[in-house]
This record gives sequence, structure tokens and C-alpha cells, in this order.
Amino acid sequence: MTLATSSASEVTDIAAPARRGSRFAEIALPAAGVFIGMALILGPFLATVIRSVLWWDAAGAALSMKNFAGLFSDPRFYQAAGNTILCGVGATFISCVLGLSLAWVVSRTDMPGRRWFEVFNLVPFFLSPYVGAISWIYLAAPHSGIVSRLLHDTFGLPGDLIPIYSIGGAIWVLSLFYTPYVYLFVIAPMRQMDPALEDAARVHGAGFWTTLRLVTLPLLAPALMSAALIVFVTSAGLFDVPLALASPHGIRTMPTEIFQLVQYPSDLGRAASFGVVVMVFTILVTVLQRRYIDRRRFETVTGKGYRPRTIALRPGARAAALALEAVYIGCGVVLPVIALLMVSLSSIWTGKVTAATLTLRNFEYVAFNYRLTQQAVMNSLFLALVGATLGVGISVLQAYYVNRGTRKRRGLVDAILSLPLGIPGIILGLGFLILAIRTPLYSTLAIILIAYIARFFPFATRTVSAMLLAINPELEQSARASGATWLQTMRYVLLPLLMPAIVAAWLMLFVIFIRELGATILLYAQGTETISVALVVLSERSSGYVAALAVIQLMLLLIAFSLFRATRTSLLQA
Amino acid sequence: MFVRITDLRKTFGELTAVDGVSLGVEEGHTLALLGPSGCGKTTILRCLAGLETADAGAIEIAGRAVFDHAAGVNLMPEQRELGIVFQSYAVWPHMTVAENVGFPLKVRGVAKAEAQRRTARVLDMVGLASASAKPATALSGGQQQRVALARALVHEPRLVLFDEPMSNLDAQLRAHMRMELAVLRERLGFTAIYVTHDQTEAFSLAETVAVMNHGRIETIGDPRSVFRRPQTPFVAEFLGLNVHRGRAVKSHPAPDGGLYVEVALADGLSVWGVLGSATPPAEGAGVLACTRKEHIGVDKPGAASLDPAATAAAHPPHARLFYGITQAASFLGLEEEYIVAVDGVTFGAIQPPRGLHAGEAVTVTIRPEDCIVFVEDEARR
Repeated sequence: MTLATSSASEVTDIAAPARRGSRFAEIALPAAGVFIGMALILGPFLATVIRSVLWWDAAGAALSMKNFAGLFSDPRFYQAAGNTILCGVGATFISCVLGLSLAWVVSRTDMPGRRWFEVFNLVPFFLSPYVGAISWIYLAAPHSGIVSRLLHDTFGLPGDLIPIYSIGGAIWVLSLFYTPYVYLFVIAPMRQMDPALEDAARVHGAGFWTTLRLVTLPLLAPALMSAALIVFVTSAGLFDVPLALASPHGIRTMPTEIFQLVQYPSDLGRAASFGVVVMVFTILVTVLQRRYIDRRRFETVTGKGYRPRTIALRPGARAAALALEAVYIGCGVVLPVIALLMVSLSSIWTGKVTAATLTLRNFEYVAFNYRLTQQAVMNSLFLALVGATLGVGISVLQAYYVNRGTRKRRGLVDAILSLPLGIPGIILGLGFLILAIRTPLYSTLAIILIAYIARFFPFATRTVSAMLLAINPELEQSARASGATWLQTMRYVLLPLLMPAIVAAWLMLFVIFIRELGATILLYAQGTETISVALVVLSERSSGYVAALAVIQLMLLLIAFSLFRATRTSLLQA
Repeated sequence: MFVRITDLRKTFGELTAVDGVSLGVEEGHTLALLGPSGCGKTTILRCLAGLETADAGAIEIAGRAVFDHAAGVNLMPEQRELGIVFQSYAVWPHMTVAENVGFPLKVRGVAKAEAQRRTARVLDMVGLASASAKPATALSGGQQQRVALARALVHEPRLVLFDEPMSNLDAQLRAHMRMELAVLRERLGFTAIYVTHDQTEAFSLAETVAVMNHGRIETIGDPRSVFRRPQTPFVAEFLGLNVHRGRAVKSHPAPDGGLYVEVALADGLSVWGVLGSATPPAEGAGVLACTRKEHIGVDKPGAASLDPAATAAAHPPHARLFYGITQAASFLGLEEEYIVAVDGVTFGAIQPPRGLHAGEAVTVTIRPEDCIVFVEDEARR
């Protein structure tokens, strides 16, 4: 007995420094993740708030509400706000209808090919909304759009039938892009809902539609509300689509207006005050939604393995379901990609492809002869690879802080770390611009990298947190009880278990960073253009170059998408 | 018959869930479908409710065909006028208790005042009158199951279906709910079909018990006869009897017209039993000897009145007494359960406490009338 005790203490003595180091790491690493996250959010947030109440005149800087006064007395502010809210509400409504319907036919009916559609419905999630808007210009622009010409030449309809350069056009493209968000939010509860809840309604006398109205939809309401909020704040705050579809006809929106305010002659003060209004509005909406969800959160999943009952569609309903899929996949993926390819392969774009104009010159130029596009691809790859890695790194630490241990104020930390989820990229970009404008960081790739991580790490934290919640802490406790230090437990137990979520989060950030525009547009300088910025710059020159570069970006995104499929991780975890 | 199922069949891909089942339930009676998971009992219930569509057969409820494959009749669930209680309760979390229970009346367009009155009455019956305004999920599991029960009864359906309603409850609550359900049934006299894997529930609640295996009915009858005289080896094993494989040695006519069979379980170890199969086994044929645990006598040596040497030689059929060793003993309260080994053959036995421990030498007594012998060829296993 004595012998055993002494040898045990000997082991402890040898390992003691490692253990002390690990104890330090256990406290310091997660806290560091949270600290970095807080700094990334609060830095630009406070910079924007402070800048909004500063006023420069001959006497120097002074605290003042003049920026706000100027903003609120400008009719353009009200136009922009009204149009933006209209965009958000319209896109949210259409996305909810489309997302719910698509999720339902895929998860609850015997529609043929539903396994394939289940995947295809997600593809727009991975595409760039800016490229989507450009493709829809190629498709539907007055007189020169492919569809416009077809309608004109075949049916004799007016060539400017489709008003793509309008709020309606923006809503349409935003809806196509945001439908997968709703789809992802509702398909999991739809699948995992105890089928007995609906069966009980049927047996007790409710027909199909009554059951849908009184039982199914109310049960999905919390998930649908969460999705609707995310879609509303992010679609309304998206810079890409209004830039392509609203600006050309002088239609003002919030993101394009802020962009204009920063352009020469810039009025950073007023831009900042606009930013503060947007941030306050976003936070208010989020808080209200949280209140609603907290009141109505209920368990519809009992944890049992259910075989969801699939509904046998009658021939008419089956045709309708397939038509819905065809319209969505057609408008969201197939037509835009066809348009991009046609334009990218034409030397001059006239609305149709002819043998005389067919060429690979656009690709050759963009890939080999043009410094801007070459630089842009390199920059985007660098930002996506490094940004995704750093972002996932801090997100793992944050997820651990929020979900493990007994740290105080976890709820508050979680709430603050989730803030950027709703803050538009251009607002965060503005914050970093204000922070960096007179520092060496200004006009470097580093500031863009920081802005990307700040804007999007909560997506990764969410994904990792969801998986961490599902991992029983006893698995780690067993490792600790078996003698592993905290660092060893992380390395040998927790990180391997979290790997699917880590991979999913990394790919998600990669995709987002490859196509990001809103957070970049205020921060780029000569030499730090990204692919999306190059697309904007080129759009004033040649549609062939734009399309060719967009195809290259599309390839990168599709590679990430297929990797996503290959890792078999589920987006549903996010 | 109030409910009549005729030659019902249902397959899921390769799996035959229901394989030609016919049965009937009289008005005001309860039929229990008893069997292990995957035996097809829940599928029959879901076909009755219209939640699954059978591949063949017919179902008639209260004189109306609700399903008839040949005639192309298949009523929607809501057209069948039923009530159902699920294992998961399926109480709607977004409604209050009263809204849950009042749902069948609401969708039938019953006037509000009338619906409230009837809801209140049923809630009172299940002892939840005071909880009616609470959100349904604020209740405990047992209370939620009462809500589900009230919801299944409020519209006075022609037939109430129970799909393992007690499986999610703990043992004590289950016993309590069983009694309550029996009282309610006595009072309201509804017709019910009750799916369960718990024999106590089946025997205590039903007039008729059908034991199912692999989509077929193994045996059907009143609880007492099903329990007392298992009709097949599967039923014997499902009811918890010892089932031993052996060879028929010889047979002897029994006074009641049946047949005694001597079964060799191992070298020098044979027991007499009563033939349960229709045809007698050939000499040396494989048979199964089934004995109820409560009927295996376990005693300290010398306590039993029989002498092993004498019983081995006794002829015609006689109780047999063997020497064995207890391998395990567990205290159950009023009884003790033993596992005893006799010449390498182990028996489970439940006896009033004898104070035996593992590893003790004991005598084991088996009487012919407590042992049922089945010819193995007949055994579908």
C-alpha cells in the first residue's frame, strides 16, 4: 500500500508542471477566445457610436447630435429606410413560403427524386448573391436579357416586360438566395416532430388542411420565426443585391446609401449615425424575437427514433410539387449558371450566343493577363483560407466557454457574441473603417481579414456550440478522471468528437469569405481587391470579364459545396 | 362483432409486418394485442386508425367498412370516428389542457358552450379539472397521459385505440393508471383495442388477449386460458416460462384424454410433461419442455418428500425430483428468484423465500401437469 502511494505521488510530481500549465490553459484559452470576440464586436461598434456624435468644424471636434439631425432631416434617409424594409419584408415573406413548401415536399411526401432535391435546394445557399443579381440582369435586363429577348422574339411581348431594376427585382433575387435559410431552419423540426402529434389530430377528426393549420404550422412557428428574423435582418442589410439592381435606377436603400456617404466627398459622421440607427433597430428586433421564442419554446421532439410518415401525393399534387422544385432550382441555380456561361463565352454580349461571338478570350484575359483579377483571386483565397481557420479557432474556444464549466454571465457573453449575426456587413465594415482610417492597418488585407472574422465568427460559434451541446460532458470528465490534463482532454477527446462541426464551420466560413462584398467594399484599396470587389469594378467595363470571373468564383464555391457533401456533416447542426 | 378485421396484410419493403390477421372485438369489450416489439401489433392499430394503408384485407367498425382492399374502400383517419392514445402522449405543446381535450369537439363543429361542458366533464373524470387552463406541457408524464386519454374519450368515439399508452410511465404510475383505466372503462363501457408488450396490462384490462409474433396471431383467447395453458412455445417463452429443448422418450395416455410425454433434457435427466401440440411426437423427436418458474419446486435437501431414486423409476408419469445447485438467488420481496443447475441444465424458479444462497445444494421438483411439451417441428421460431 505504502509503495503504491509513493509511486503515485512520484508520477504526480513529474507531471506537476504540465498540469499547472494545463490549468492555466483551461482558464486562459476559452477566456481569450471570448475576449477576442468581444473586442472584434465592441471595437467597431463603439467606434461607430462615438463617430456618430462627433462633429468637426473650424473650432475642431466636438460632441454633437448634428449628424443625427442631418440624417433625420434628409428625405433620402426615409426613402432608403423604407425601401430597405420593403426589401426585407418582401424577401422574408417569399423565402418563408418557398422554404416551408420545399422543406415539406422534400421531408414529408413521396415526391420522386426528393433525395436529390434535398441537396439541390441548398445550392443557392452556397452561391454569391451579387453574382446571382448579375446573372438575373443577364437573364431579365430590358431588351438585352436572355429571357427578355426570348419573350420578345417568341411571343412578341415587350422587351422590357420584366422590371429587374427595381425593388421587386431585388426582392426576387434575395428570396432565391435566402430560401435555403428558411428551408434549413424548418426541415429539422419537420423531420423530427413526433408524427403522433399530427396523427392524433387526424384520428380525432381533423382533416389534412385543418391539421396543417391547427397543429403542424403552430408547432413549426418558433423555428419559422427564428428563420424569418435572420432572413429579414440579413436580406435587408445585404449590400450586393441593391447595388446591382436598385442603384442603377437611382433607387435608394440603406446599404447603398451608406456606401454613397463614404464615397468622395465622404460624410463619415452621417454614415456613422445611419449605422447606429441600423444597429439599434437590429438589436431591438432581435430582442423582441427572443422574447417571443422564449415564450413559445416547446418540445416537439421526444428523442425517439421516428420514421416520419410520408404522404402519398396524388398525381396532380405530385406535378405541383415537381413544378415548385423546377421553378426554384431553375431560377435559383440553373438559369443563372446558364446565363453566366453564355455571357462568359461571348466576345460581345447581345442577349444571345452566336457562333461568331463564341470565345474563350474572357477567361484567358481574366486568368492570365489581368493583374486586378489575378490579384483578386489570390486575395480572396488568402482571406478565405486564413480567415476560416482563425475564425473557427476562436469559435471553438468561445463555444467551450459558453457551454462548459461554470463561468458567470454566460448568457450575456452569448448574447454579445451573437450580435454580428444581424448587423449588416457594410455597417461593420464602416466601423472598422472608422477605427483604422488613420492607422497603418488602413488599406491592408489584414483589416479586411479582421472585419470578415468579426462579422461572421458567430456562424461558426453557433455550429460548434450546437454540436458541443450534444456531447455529454461526462465524456470529458471521464478523461480527466483517467488522469488526462485539460489540454490532453481537448486534444484526444473533445476536438475529435467536435471535428464534424469544425469542418462544417470552416467550410461555411470559407464559402462566406470567398463571396463577401458588404464588409469589403468600404475597406479595400488598390492591391487588396477581392473577387467580389473586382466584379463590381469590372461591371463598369465588360460583362464578359465579369461573367468569366464570376464563373471562377462559382467553381471555388462549388468545390466547397462538394467538400461539404463529402464530409457528410449536416448543415442542420447550424 | 363490433370490430372485424379480415385477413389483414401489410408489408414494409422486405418486412412483412402483418401477415394475414383476422380477429373480432365485441361491443363494449377490450381486445389486447400483446407481443414483443416488431410483432406487428402497432401496425394493426395504425391500419385500424387509417394511419397506415394495409396491402390486403378488410376492416369493419360498427357495421361500416372503413377499409376494404378488394372494394377499394379506405376512409381517412378523421372519417373513422375513433379516439387514440399514443405512447408519446402526443399532447399538443402549443395548446392548453382544455384546448387539447376540446380539439375533437372543435373540429366537429360542436357549439362552444356544449364543447366546454363536455370537456370539463371528461377532465373531471380523469382528475384534471383544476389543470384545464394550464399549458399542456406544464404537466407531468402521467398527467399528460390523462390529457391524451380525455382527448380520446371526449367525443364518445365508437372505438378507442391504445398504442402502448403506459410504456413511458414508471412502474408505480403504470400500476395506478391501469386501475384508473379499468374503472373508467367500467363506467363508460367503450370498446377498445389495446396494444402492449406488458402481459400484466393485457391480462388485467382485456376480455380477449391476442399474442402476436412475426405478424401473425400465435394465440387468442380470454386472459385466463391464454395464461394458464400457453398454446405455442413462443407464447410460453413470451410469458416467461422456462423453455428447454429435449427429445421425446416415451408417452403415456393421460386420464383427461391427453397425452403424457417423457422428455430427456440431458443424459440421465428427463421430465414428464403434458403434450401441448396437436400431434404426438415420434420417439426420439425433438421437443420443447416448458415450465413455469413458479412451478419449479426448489428446496433444501431433505425438505422434499420425494426420493430422487424412487421418482426416476416411477412409472407411469410422476413428479420428478433432482439434485441441483443454486447458481444465483435474488430477493424479490414476497418471493425469491433462483437459477438452479441440474446436470448442466438450468431452470429459473420463483418460490416463497427459502433463504437459499448461490452455490447451495438443493432439490428440484417438476410435476408432469406443470410441464407443457411441444413438438419442435411445429414451433415457428
